[in-house]
Amino acid sequence: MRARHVALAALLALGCAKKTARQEAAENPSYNFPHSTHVDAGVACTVCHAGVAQERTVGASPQVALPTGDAAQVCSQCHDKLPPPPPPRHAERTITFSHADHLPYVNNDCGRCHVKLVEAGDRTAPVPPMSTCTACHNHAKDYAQARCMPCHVDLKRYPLKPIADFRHAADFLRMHGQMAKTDLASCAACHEQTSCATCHASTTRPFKSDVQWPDKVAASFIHRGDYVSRHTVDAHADPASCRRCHGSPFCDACHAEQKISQRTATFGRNPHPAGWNAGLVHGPAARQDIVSCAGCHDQGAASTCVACHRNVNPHPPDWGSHHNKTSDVSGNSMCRICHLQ
Amino acid sequence: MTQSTRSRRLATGVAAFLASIAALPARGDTVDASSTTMQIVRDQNRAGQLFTIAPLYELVSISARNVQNPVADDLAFVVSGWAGLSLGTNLVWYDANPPQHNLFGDLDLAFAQGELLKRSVQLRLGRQVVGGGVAGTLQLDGGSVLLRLPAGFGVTAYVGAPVAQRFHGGGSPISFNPNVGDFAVGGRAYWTLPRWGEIGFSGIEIRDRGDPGREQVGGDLRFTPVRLVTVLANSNYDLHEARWAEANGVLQFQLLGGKLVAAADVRHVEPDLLLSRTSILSVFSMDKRNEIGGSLQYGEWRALTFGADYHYLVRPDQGVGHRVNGRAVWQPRSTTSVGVEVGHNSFYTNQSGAFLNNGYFTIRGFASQEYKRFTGSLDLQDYEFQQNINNYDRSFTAIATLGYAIGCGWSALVSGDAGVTPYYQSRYGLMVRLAYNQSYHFREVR
Repeated sequence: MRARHVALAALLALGCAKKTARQEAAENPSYNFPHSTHVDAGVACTVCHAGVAQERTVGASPQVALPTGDAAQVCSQCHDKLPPPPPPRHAERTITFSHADHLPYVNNDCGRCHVKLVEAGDRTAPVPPMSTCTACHNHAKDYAQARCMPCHVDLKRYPLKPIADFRHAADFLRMHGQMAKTDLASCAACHEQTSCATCHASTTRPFKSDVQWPDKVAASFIHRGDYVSRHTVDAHADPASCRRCHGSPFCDACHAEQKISQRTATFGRNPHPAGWNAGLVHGPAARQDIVSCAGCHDQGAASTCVACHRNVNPHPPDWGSHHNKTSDVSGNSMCRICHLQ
Repeated sequence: MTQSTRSRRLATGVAAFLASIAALPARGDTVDASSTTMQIVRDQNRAGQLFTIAPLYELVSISARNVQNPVADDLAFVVSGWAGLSLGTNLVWYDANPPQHNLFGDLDLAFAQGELLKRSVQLRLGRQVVGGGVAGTLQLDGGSVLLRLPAGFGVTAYVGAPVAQRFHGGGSPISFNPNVGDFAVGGRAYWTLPRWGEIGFSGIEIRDRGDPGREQVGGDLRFTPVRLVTVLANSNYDLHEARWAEANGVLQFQLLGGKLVAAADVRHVEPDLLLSRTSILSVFSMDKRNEIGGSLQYGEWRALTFGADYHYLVRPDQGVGHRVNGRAVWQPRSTTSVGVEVGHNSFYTNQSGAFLNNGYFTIRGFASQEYKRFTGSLDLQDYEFQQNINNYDRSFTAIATLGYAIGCGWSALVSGDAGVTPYYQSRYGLMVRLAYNQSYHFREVR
C-alpha cells in the first residue's frame, strides 16, 4: 500500500516535469524568420519592429508586425506573396531598458547591441551581451558591488553565476551583516528570503545548516561541526554575536535539559566555581558578561538574582544619570519586581 | 480550548495555507520549489546520559514570482516551512521535559509581496524577515512597505509581532526570538546617490505586553569615493539606556583587478544592550567590547584562493584578546575542491597575562569530488581548547558524504559522522537526505 503511494507520488512529480517541458515547447516554438537574410538584403529592422524607437520598456511581447500598404513594398521586392505573420511569442521581462532612450546614441544602428540575431530553427533568441552596455556605461563599480537592479529585474533564477563572480570574499560571513544594513536591495537581487531564513530563522528551525548540507564543505557555516563544545568560548568572547539570533530561552531550554539551569529541579553539575555566590566573585563577572548569566538565569521575577538583589542595589554606578525612577517603574513591569510603585 | 486542540487547529490552518500556496504555481511566471526529506539517527547527550534520537524532517519551500494579476507588479508568494517526526527517543526539540507529542513543525516564511504604483511601492504581508539599519535581522509576523521616492530617496517601514515558535512540543509559551515582545514597529529612511553610495537613518521599537523591550535608532552609510574602494559604517543608539549599543566601520579595497580584496574594520559593542529591556538582567551591567582588524583574500592563483583575517579584541579595563583565521582552497576543476582552514580564537588575557576565558585552536581539512552523477566529500575538524571542557581539551569530528544526482531536480545523499568530543567519548551519526530543487518558468503567450 505504502509502495503504491510512493510510486504514485513519483509518477505525479515526473508528470509535472513533463507537462512543463511540453508547455514550454508549445508556447515557444522554434523561430522561423531568417534575420541574417533580411539584414544582408538591407531591410531595416524598423520595417517589422516599427514601434521599437518609441518603446520605453521591454514588454512581455516584442514589437513585431509585418508591414502593410506602401511599407510592404520592400517585402515584395523578393516575396511574391507575403508570408504569414510570426506566431505570438512571449519574451520574459528580465531587464529594465528603454529603446527610445538608447537608439539615438547608436544612430539607430540596432546591430551595435544586437550583435547576434535569432535565426530560423533557433529555440531562443540571443540577448545583447552585457559588454554592449558597459561599452558606454561604466557599470564596473555596480557590478563589483553586486548592484544589479534596477537594470536586471529578476536574477534569482540565475543563482550560480553571481556566486562565482561575487565571491563573498574573505571574512564575508562576519561582514555580510554590516553590508546588508545599508544594502539589502543588493542581496535581494539574487537571494530570496528563503536564503536568509535558512540561517536567520533560528527561532523556528531545530537544526543547523551544516546538518542539512554536510556535503557543502567549502561553505562558511557559522556553527559547523561540534559547536556544543565551542559555544561557551564563543559566547564569552563575543556575546553580542549570539544575541543577534538567540534569545535567553533558547539557551535556557537546552541548559535545562542538561540540568545546568536554575529551572531544573536537580542540578547535575554546577557550572560555577566554588565560592561563586560570594558577591565579590560573581558580581564583577556579571558586570562584565551579563549576557552569559542570561543563558541560565533570565526568568523574570523567578530569576535567582531577584531574591538577594531586591535588597542590594544591582545597578551600575551611573545608572541614575539616565534613568528616572518614577517613570521607569510606572512604565516597565520588570522594574516593579523589585521597586514598589 | 486545550493546548492539543489549539495545536491541531493551527496545524490544520497551516496545512490549508500550504495547500493554497501550493496551488499557485500554475499562475506564477517563475516558481522555485524545493523539498528536502531528512532522516537523522544520532546519539544525544542529556545530562550525562546517552540517548538515540531519530527525527524525520521534511522541509518545503515554494516561491512563485511574477504572478500575473491585474493589481500588482511582480506579485510573489513565498512559503517555507518544516515538519519533524520523532521516531526514536522523543528528545528532538529543546525543553527540560520530554515533549507530549512526537510531531513538530513551523513556518519559517509565509508572505505575499507585490509592487504598486509603477513599482514605487512594495508591500509585503505575512511571516517574513525584515532587515536593514538597526532592525538587523528580525523575523516578523506582520507587514512591511518600501516606498521608492524621487531623487533616490526611499522609506521602508514594518509593523507586526516578532515570531515565536508556534508548534513547540512542550507547549510552553517561551520565545526563542532575541527580540522578545508582541509588537514591533520600525523603519528606515535612505538616500541613494548612484555611483556614490547610500546613507540611511533607522529606528525600531519593540514592546512586550506594553513594556519597552527595545528602543533604538541608528545611522548607516555606504560610500564609494573612488572606484574599488567602499566605506561601510553603521551605529545603533539605545534610547532607553542612552548609550551606543553598537558602532561599526569597514574600509574595503579591491586591488589587482579585483583579485585581491582587502578590508579593515573597527567595531564597538555593548552586549548587554542586546538583551531585551524587559529582562531583569538588563539592569546589572555595562559591558563594552572593542575590536579592530582586517581581512585579505587573494584569488585565484593557479586555482588557489587564499584568505585570512585578524582581529585584536579589547575588553576595556579587563584585558585583550586575538582572533585569527586562515583558509586556502584549491579548485583545479569545477568538480574538485580541496581546502584547509586554521584558526586561533578569542584568547583574552588580563594585564598580568592570565586567561580571562577559554579559547581554541582550529584546524580543518575538507575535500569534495564530483564524478559523473556522484559527489563525495570528506570533512575533518579538530579543535584544541586552551582550558579543559568537561575534563577534555580536544574535539575531533569526521564527516563523510556520498551524494547522487538522480536528475529532474532530485538528489540523494548519505552522510555519516563520527567524533570524539568533550561531551561524547565517541559519537556516531547517520543522515539520509532526499532533496528536490527545481525552477519552473511558466510563460504567458500573447
